[in-house]
Amino acid sequence: MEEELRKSLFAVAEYVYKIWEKIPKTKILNQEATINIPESFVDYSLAVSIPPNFRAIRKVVEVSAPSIIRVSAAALSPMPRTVREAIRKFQYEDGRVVYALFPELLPPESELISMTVTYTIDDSSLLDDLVDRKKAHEPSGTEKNEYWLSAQLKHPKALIDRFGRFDLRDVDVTVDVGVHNELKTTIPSSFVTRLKMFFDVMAETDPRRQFLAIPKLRRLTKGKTTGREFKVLTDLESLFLPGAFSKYIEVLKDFRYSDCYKGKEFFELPIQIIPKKMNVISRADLTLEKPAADGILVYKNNLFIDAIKAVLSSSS
Amino acid sequence: MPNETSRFETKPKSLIYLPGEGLQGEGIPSYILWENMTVESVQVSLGPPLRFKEIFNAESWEIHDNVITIRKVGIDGYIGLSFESSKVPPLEVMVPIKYLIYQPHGDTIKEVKRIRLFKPKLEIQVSAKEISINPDTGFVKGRIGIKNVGRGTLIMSISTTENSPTELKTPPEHREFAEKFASDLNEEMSNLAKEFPEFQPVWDEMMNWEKRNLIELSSEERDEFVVSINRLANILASNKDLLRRFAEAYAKAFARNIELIEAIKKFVSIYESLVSKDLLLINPFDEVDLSNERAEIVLKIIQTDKVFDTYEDVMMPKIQLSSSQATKVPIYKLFKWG
Repeated sequence: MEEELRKSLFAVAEYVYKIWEKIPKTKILNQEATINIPESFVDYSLAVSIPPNFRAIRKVVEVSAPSIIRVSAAALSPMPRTVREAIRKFQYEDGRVVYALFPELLPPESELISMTVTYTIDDSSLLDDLVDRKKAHEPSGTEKNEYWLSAQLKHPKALIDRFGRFDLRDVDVTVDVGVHNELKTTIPSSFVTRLKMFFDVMAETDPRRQFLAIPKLRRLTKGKTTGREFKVLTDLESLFLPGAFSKYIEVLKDFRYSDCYKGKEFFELPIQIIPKKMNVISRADLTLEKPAADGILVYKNNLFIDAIKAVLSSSS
Repeated sequence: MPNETSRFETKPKSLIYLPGEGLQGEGIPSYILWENMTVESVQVSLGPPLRFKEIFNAESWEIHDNVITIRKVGIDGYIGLSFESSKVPPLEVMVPIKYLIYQPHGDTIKEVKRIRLFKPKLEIQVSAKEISINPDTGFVKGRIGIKNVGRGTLIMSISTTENSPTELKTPPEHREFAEKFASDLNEEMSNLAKEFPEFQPVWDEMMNWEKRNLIELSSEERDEFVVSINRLANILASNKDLLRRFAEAYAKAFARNIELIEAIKKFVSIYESLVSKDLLLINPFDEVDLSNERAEIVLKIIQTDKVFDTYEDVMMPKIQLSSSQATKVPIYKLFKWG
């Protein structure tokens, strides 16, 4: 694993490890780490065996780093339980925030304890250093509406050497789901023609041409969606709100659906009304036991076509 | 006493993953997982146009002529693979990949998986040397036939060549809208970057690309552009608040620049510019000025696909345009989209 990556990911974990390593008569038995991708934080835990007189010889164990957001302690023996009262957070006069473990507040019979330090990571390229992520740029499958997704750990050995358990939660893969074909084939051109005629007539300033436009105006009133064009457009646009569009997405196998947003085609003039694609975020977990994951994102385009048709035919 | 579950767990098991289809030019993943079995070595053989790009969790391995042999893995039970593919002349090609998992005592698991690699392809038919336009009816005679005969989306831009007597122009209202929108969007995004400092460099990078023209990018630059796009997608996916605010900022910049009527007008233009299945035109608003009722034009089509691969430009013969009265014609109307 690259030195840079190790630093940005585990600098705080190593710092906490070293604090415990230096405390005489204690022994670090296990280390675990969970990286939470969407929230960008690491939960780092170490399990330590402590001597019976630990409470008497050690007054306090302090940890302090700007990225730490939470510290908790638990007694692992004889019965596992969190010991909220043993950790206190306070601030020194120089502004430094410190989390302190007071051994005397640990259950007297406990010989095995754990400390969990939660800290944030701000390196957005970190995930790419840890995981190889790939996705289909075009749909495939029998109905040409499936996009494959995959995520694989790049350096599992470096992690297993360090941690008894390592979880990477909610690894994201974003797929561009093209929606323009459904829009083009489902919205009748007569609907668009009526919209156009409406604007042409409105824009006309020459009285003679206005007169000539009267038959056009008459024709306008004959379509099924007449008078509801604006509502149809608003309803069509609302199909692309994340809550609505997610109904037409199903994510299978190791991945699950997380979120979606309107896609922007860079290089194009900004046109937000109806997108040509939706960006869909799917997520999977990776562990040392399951270092690779794959999934299929199914875009239920036929149901989406039905939804467009329903908007076009609904009564006002 | 072993229960049902533990007996099941001790059964040797292996799994090989490879997607069934892919776009020529995209990165293809593959991996091998196994449990409850001893693996001495693994061999994977590829055929063109696939090539090995990266291997994960291999401690000792060698590669000869597209055959990779892994003798020692990092953690037991996993080999990760990353392949790259490239464009080939056929529109579709089936590539077999052979996986051999060698176990002790000469036992071997052999599996051949296949991936179909496809690509889009533009076909153009110029049927007449003259295209005539009737501005009253909107009828265009002699349109140029154009369609995608392959598979996958073609992203294209139509422009004029250097020696074309007439040039294409972006209508001023679209250009002004785009410029105003870009500046408002930048303002919204700068506010966002104050709250989420990690977003700033990613957005700056995106804005630098936005100033460029897709047409001008070299293939190396296109690769860099893909990296930038992925970086933006990743940062949005890694922070829920940022994603929500990004979508809001975008919608706000849009709302500040557009009236309902304008929005509907744009809808009409966009609908019309969604020219056909699997063809995306990136400059649908560009138009030819026929104020003299006649013009000569030499068109050029620049194309790319979803992985921004380079395609050869399509140069068209000189075409005469005529109209019964002065008019402006959006470029997409000169084509018959198949």
